[in-house]
Amino acid sequence: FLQYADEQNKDFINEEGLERFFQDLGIELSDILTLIVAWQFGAETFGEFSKEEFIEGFKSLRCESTRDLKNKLPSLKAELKDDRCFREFYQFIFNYVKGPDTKVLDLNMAVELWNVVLKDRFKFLDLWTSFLKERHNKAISKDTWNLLLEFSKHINATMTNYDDEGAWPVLIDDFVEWATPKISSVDKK
Amino acid sequence: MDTPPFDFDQKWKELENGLSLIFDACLNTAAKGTTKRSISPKEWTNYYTIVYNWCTRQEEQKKEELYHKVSSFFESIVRQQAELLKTNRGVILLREYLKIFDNFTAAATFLKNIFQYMHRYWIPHQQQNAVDGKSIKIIDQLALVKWREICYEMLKNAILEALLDLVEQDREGETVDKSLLSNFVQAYIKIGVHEEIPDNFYKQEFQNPFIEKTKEYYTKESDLFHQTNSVSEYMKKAEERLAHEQQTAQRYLHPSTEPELKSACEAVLITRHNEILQNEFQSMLKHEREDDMKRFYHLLSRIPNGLDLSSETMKNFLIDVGMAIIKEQSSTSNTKRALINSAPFIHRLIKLHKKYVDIITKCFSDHKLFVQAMDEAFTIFINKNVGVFTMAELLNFFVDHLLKGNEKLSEEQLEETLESTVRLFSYFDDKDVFYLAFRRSLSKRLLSRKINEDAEMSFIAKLKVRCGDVYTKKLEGMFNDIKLSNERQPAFKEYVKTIEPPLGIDITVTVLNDLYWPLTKQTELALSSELLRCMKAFEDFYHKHNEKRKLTWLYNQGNVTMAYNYPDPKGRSKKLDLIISCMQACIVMLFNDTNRLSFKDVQDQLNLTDEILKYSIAPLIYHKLKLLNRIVTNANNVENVQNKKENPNKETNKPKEDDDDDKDTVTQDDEFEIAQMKRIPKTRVAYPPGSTRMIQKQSQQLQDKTKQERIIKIELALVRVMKARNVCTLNELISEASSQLMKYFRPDPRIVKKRIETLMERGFMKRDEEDQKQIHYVA
Repeated sequence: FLQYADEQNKDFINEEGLERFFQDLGIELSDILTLIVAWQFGAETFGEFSKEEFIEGFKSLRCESTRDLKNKLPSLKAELKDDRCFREFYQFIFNYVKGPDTKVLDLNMAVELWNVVLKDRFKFLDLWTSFLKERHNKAISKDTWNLLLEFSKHINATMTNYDDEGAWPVLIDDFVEWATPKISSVDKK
Repeated sequence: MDTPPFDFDQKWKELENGLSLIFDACLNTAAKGTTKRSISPKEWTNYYTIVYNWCTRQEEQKKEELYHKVSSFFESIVRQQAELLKTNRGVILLREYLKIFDNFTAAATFLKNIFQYMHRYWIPHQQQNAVDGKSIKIIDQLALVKWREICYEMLKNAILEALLDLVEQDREGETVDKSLLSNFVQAYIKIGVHEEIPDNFYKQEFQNPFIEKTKEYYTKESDLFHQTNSVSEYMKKAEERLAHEQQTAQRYLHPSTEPELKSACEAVLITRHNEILQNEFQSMLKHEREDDMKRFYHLLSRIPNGLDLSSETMKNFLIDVGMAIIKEQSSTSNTKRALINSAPFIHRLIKLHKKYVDIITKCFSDHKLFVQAMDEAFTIFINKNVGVFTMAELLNFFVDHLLKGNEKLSEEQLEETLESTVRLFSYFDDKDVFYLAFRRSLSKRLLSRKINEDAEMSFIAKLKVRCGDVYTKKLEGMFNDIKLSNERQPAFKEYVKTIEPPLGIDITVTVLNDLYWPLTKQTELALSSELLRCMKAFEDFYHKHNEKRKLTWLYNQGNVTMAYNYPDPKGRSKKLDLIISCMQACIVMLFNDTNRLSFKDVQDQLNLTDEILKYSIAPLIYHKLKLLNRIVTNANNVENVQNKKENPNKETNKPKEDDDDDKDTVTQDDEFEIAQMKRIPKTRVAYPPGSTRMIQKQSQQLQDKTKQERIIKIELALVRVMKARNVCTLNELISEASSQLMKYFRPDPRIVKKRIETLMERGFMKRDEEDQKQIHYVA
C-alpha cells in the first residue's frame, strides 16, 4: 500500500499513485477494469483509494499481492457477464464518478463512461450520444443513468417495442421519438 | 254381491241420444231461431245416473269404453260442422266459424256436468296411472281437442287467410269489422287452453304468421314510400303506422302480441331505413326543422342504439359550426380589431349554445346523449386557438365589458348573459388563465370606483357554483379591501384638516393587500412637492393604526383630475378639467415651467422607465384632443418618412390595419411641446392611461405567469397524491394528479412526467429498485 500512497497523507492513494497501481496491474487507464477494481474495492471517491478500502479490497478478493490481483483480473471481468452483477456495477459507477457533492453527472463524463461501460451492450449507444449532444446538453440524472441500462436491455433493433406507458424518463421518451425516424430511414436504405 | 245387470249398449244409446239432443239444441239455435228443445231436469238426472251407474260398475274396460264412445261421438259432431263450414270463405267464414265454435263449446261445457262422476274418479285415476294417461282429458277439454284436430285443422288455412286479409284491408284504410279479430283471438286462446303453455297455440297459429305478414307489408310500403316522398313525409307516415298498429294490438289482439308487433314494425319501418333517416338528420339540423327533429327523435329512440349515431352527427355538426365562428375570430390579426370583436364573438357563442340547449329540450327531450354530444362539441372548439388572444382573455374582455355596463342590458338580461358566460366557461380547459386575466380586469374596475357591485357579486357566485370556489377567496379579498378603504376615508379627511399648511389637494387613498391583488409597483416616480406632501400625510395617518405594515405606492395606478388653463384661438383664457393617470399628471405638470421638453428630460426628471413613459405619454399625443405635440427629431426617422413616400407600392401591400398600430409610437429621440387647443365644447376630458399596445404585451406576460404557476401547481398536486398513497405506479400518479388539476387547467402529461423526474432528483420521491413503474414517497 505504502508504495502507492500519497506523500502528504499516508492514508490515501491519490491519482498519481493510482496510475502507478494500475500500471503495475497491467491495466490501461481507459480500461473498464479500472472501474471494476474500484467497484470491488468499494471505493467512495473517484480518483483515490483510502487505506481501508485498499486493504479490505485485497482481502475480499483474496489476494495477497499485486500479482495475485493481476491474475484475478480476467475472472473479475467475466463476473460482469451476470446481469445482476453488472447492474450493481453500472449503478455504482454513477455515484462513484459524479462525487458526493452533486446529484447529477456531467454530460461529457457520462458519455465517456457509457462508451466504456456500455460498449457492445447498447446497440444505440452512438445514436444516444448524438442525441444528447444535440438536444439535451445538460447533466445526467441518476434516474436517467439507471434506466438507460434497462432500456438497453429491452429495446429491440427497430425500437418498435417501446412502451409509452412504461414509465420511462422523459429524456428516453424524447430519444425514442427523435431516433425512430432515423432508424427507419436507415432500414430503408 | 248381487248386482243388477247393466245393459251397456242400451244405456249408451240413451246417453248418446241425450248428447245429440244437447248439441242439436245448441248448434241449431241460430239456424232455426225458434223453439229449442231444452232438456228437462228429469232427463238430466237420468243421464247423470246412467254415467254414474256405468262408472260404478266393476268392469274396468267398460269405463274406458265409455270414454272412447264419447270421444267418437264428439268426432262425428265435429266432422259434421266442418263440412258445413268449409264451403265458406273470407269474412263469412270467420263469422260462421265463430258462431258455431261458440255454440259448440257452450254445449261441451253443458255436457261436462253429466259426466261429473267420471271426472271425480276415473279420469284422474287414468291420468295418473295409465300408460297414455296424458291423453285422457276431462270431457269439455276432450271436445275441444276433437274440434281442433278435425274442424280447425281442416279450415285453418282458410281462416288464417281471411284474418290476414282483414288486417290488410284495415291497413289500407277500409272499414272492417275488427271485433272479428278480437273474437278470433279469444277462440284461439280457448283452443289452446289445455296445452302446457296456453298461449303457444295462439302464437304459432296466428301471431307468428301475422307478424310475418306485417313485416312484408310494411317493408313494401316503406320502400315504395321512400321513392316518392321526402324523409320528412316518411317520418310522419311511419309515426302514423306505428300508432295504428299499437292501437290495433291493444284493442284487438292478445297482450302478448303487442311487444312483438311493436318491435317488428320498428325493425321494418325504422331500423331498415336507418341510414336514410340518419343522413337526413344533418340537413334537419342545418335548416333547424324542429318538427322533423322531434319526430326523428321519437322514432329513433324506439330502436336500440338508434340515437347513438344521431348524437354523433349532431356533435360533428356543432363542431363545424363552432369552428367556423372561431376561425373568423382567429383570422383577425389586428389586435385592436380583435379586441373590439370580442364582445360580438362571445355573444355568437352564447347564442349558439342557447340555441342548442333549446333544441335539445324541445326536440330531444333533454336526452343525455345529446346533452353529452353538445358538451363534447363545445369543449372541443372552445379550447382551440383563437388568434391574437386566447379564448380565456377574450372571455375576460367580454365579462369586463358587461360588468362595466357597456352594454345596454336590463338587470335580468345581464343576469342571463352572465349565466350563459359562466356556462361557456365551464367548457374551458385553461381555467387558470381566465382567472388571472379576470383578476387583473377586476382590479382595474375596482380601482376605477365605478362598479356594479351586484353584478360582480352575482358573477362570482355563479362561478363558484359551476366551477368551485378555487379562486373566489382572492376575489372576495379584493372587494373587502375596497370596502375598508372607503370606510377609512372619512377619518383620513378629518386628519387632513388638521394639517398646517393645508394640503390644497383633495386626495383619496386605497390600500390593497398584496396577497390578493395582481398588481406590482412597476416603476419609480419622482413626485412633485405637492404630491409628496399628500403622500406623507397619508403614511402618517395610516401608520398611526397599522404600525407594522409596509406601504408601497403604486404610481402606475390611480388618476388625477387636473385643471388646465389654456388660451383658445381667440386668446381668451379657458379652463378644462383633465382626467388623467398619475403618471400623465406628473408629465404634464413639468410643462408648467417650460413649453418644450425632450424624452430624456422627462425621463430624468421623473425617474420613469422607458416602457412606462412611452406607454403613458402616447395617449396625450394621439388622442383626438391633443394635449402634446410630438416632434420627431431623429435623422433616421426622417429617412423612414421619405421611404414611405418612395415606395407607395410596398405600403399598399400592407393591410390597412397595420396603420393603426403605428399611431402609438413614441421614441426616445422625440421632443414634446404643448399643443394648441381648439375650442372644446366639453368641460372635462378623460384620457386613457396608456396605449392599447400594452395589452398585447400583457397577454404575453399572462401566458408566462400562467406557465410558472402551473408548474408549481403540478408539483403540489404530485406531492399531495404521493403523500396520500405512499406508493403507486407512474401512470396512476400522472392520472390522479391530472384529475386533481382539471379544475384549474388541463395538464400536459409530458410536463407532469418531467415534474415527477425533477421531484425525484430533489429527493421528494424515488423509483422502486425492482419495478421501474413504481414510485415511492420519500417523507
